[in-house]
Amino acid sequence: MVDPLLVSGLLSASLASIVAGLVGVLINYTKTQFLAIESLHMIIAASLVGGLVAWYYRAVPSELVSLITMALFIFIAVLMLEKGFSQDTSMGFTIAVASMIASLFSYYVALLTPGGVSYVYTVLFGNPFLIPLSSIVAYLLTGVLLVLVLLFLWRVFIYIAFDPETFEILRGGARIYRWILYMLIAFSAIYITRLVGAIPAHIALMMPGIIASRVEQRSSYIAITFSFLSSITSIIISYQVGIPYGALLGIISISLYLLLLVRR
Amino acid sequence: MIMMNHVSAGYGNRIVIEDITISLEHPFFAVIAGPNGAGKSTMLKVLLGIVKRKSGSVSVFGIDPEVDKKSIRRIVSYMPQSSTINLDIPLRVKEVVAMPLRIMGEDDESLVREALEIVGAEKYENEIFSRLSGGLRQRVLLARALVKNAKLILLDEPLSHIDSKGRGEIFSTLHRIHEEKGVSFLIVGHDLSVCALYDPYLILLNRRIVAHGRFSEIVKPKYLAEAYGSILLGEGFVVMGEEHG
Repeated sequence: MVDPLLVSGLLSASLASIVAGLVGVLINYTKTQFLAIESLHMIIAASLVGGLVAWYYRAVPSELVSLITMALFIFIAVLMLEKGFSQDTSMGFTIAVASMIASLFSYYVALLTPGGVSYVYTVLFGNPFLIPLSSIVAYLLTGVLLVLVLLFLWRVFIYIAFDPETFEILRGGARIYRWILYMLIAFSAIYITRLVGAIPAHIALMMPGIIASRVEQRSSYIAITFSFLSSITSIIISYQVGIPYGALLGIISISLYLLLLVRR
Repeated sequence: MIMMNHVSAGYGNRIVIEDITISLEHPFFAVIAGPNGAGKSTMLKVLLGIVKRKSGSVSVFGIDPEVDKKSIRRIVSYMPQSSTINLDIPLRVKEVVAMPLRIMGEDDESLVREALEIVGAEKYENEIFSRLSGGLRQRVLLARALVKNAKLILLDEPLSHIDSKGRGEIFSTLHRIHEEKGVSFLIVGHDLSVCALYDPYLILLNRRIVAHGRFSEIVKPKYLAEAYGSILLGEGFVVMGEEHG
């Protein structure tokens, strides 16, 4: 009989890796790495605010508070864009605000709430082995939906990233599609964070695209295959030897990238 | 025929082109020249309807581009500046050329091959676009502009980042397509030296139209000084057979 912990770990890591592989390629092609990092910082802060507020006001669900907090961060970023600040400035400022809130709330969550330290650790580093199998069905459905939307709009996103001016002339609506892409990146970041934690999500979202960029032929397939295989390998080794999943994912990804650099 | 009648346009409160009036009879082979910030690219974008005019009227084959964008997309092609293309994406040449057809839901491989043959790049169809030389990339982008059989092709700086031999080759390819296929070309360019051989219709622009007419009639110190602020136009510039710079 296979250990249910390992089954949970394998399923969580597989789902996260498929979404991360796909989105990672788009992040690399559309040069939205900064946006992905901004999303992850906002998620960390929003999860910690949600955790503390829900502990203080028992009737309020933590997810709702997290969602409202996320919406406020997005509002700050959009407001700055509307006021004429550059995209990088608005993202940089929002990352700073999110990091400040995360630092403050992680301290009080750890100090005040029962199991607070464990909660902060799980938000940051995840624990894919402990996701209940009942929740994984919901994650599976969400993941399938996310992948279908990404594949449906794949060519549009690639064309906009390749030549935005010509796309706008031929079809129009490039700006709307770009916002849809930003939302999908943010949503994918939430999805991956819930499955494997926010810090491993940084590696999962960044490395497949970076590795694929070293291999020009069939790079999308390589990114997704790499993302999946490195995730599964990391979870199995993590289960066997007790080293955190995120650390192993980082070791495998970074080693492979360095190997590709040396080979060139 | 394209017509611009007292057109002013720009971005926000900034006027970039002012009181432009010109008409060109199809099929034409015309070049828009002028200093940086003269409004050359803006003029193309007004013809495409993606920069809204603040005053005046525009007609492209009888269509107002701001009113009927769908028809404009069918009959007008656009080749952007090469600097706006993201070379990090490993698209194959045939995928790049097929892009307009796929966006418009009309994928047809024979049209892609035909367009590549016209520009002499058919043997590169399976190559990765970003690995090609600057001149070849421009040829492929030209094939992409040709693929949907447009009546008018607008080209924004098609000769930039190419050596002088490549510039001559691209320009002669454009002229050959114009002659053979009866396609109208409106080309934004800095380097007028390559124009001398074909005597195109020249529009000298500096926010307003300074002068327009045949290249041989317009390239005169008086007009050039008015457009560029000086008759010393830089390296390799040919004025009426004399090389300046």
